[in-house]
Amino acid sequence: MTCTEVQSWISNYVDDALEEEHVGPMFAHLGSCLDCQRFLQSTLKIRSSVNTDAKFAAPESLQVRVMKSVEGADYDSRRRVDMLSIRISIPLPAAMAMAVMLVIGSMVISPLFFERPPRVQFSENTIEQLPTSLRTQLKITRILLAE
Amino acid sequence: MQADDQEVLIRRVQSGDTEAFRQLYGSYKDQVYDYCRRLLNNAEDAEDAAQEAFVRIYQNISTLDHPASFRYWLYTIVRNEVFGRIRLRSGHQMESLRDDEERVWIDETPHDKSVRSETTELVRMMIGKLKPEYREVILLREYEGMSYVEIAAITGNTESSVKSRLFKARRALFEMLETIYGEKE
Repeated sequence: MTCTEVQSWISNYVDDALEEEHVGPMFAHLGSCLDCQRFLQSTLKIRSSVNTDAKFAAPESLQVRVMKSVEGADYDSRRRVDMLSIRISIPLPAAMAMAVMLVIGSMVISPLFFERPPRVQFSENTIEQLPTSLRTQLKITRILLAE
Repeated sequence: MQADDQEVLIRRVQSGDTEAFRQLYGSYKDQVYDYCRRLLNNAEDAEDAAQEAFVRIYQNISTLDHPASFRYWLYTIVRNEVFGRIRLRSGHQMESLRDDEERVWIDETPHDKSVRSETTELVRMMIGKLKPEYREVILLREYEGMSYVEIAAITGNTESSVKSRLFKARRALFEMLETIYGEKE
């Protein structure tokens, strides 16, 4: 058992991390070794010095900087979302007038771009060749259209 | 802050509540700044690192599945920020620790004969002169009271490596104290 080994045990011991089987031999060695006794004292002195050493306090400027970064990023991300969903407010009468004009305009313009589909005339022969259900539906449709 | 209160606060931050983040910041600001300050040995760098770390925490907190592990997750982020700056500042390469690694000081051993200050200041000065890898384990163990397992998780090392670094750091501090107090006598 060397002093280096015992001192590594001491280092673990002060952290409550020494295996049980090493505790006895460590104390037995400490009883007669001044070097290791001084190492234990030094380790405990360092710990006690740290305990009395005040923590550095974060400066006020740090909070300002952090919150500015955080809230600025938050504002930017909300602004991007809002830009994608732009809302335009229009008075109701104006909106109704625009809708009516759109409908009339589409009725006026559409014949210029689309040909009326030709009327399809079915001969009576053709109609009689259709299945009964379809014939019935066609006759009903003709009646409705005539009305 | 109680664990349950902290969990509620974290959930609020995850839903975008910046006021909740302000409270969370308030709970950890001194710990984080102190850690940065002691590792970087510079107030300005420490403030920069702490700011970046807190902003990253806010931006990535939605990825934290277990609020109970927030403290260790926070220190991992802060550590990455600090060591990134250390590497940039000095070109310091994080050395893999070998069993025969003996160099624990940044450069020359801090044998300053003019230091006649209180032990606390002396110890603080000496710890500040340790290499970052050794300084860090001393800070997390002695200043933050973390266990070996916790330190291993934050630093990305094994528990065995943490024990070894702690021992070597304490050994180096012991030898320096012996030299200084030996010469005083």
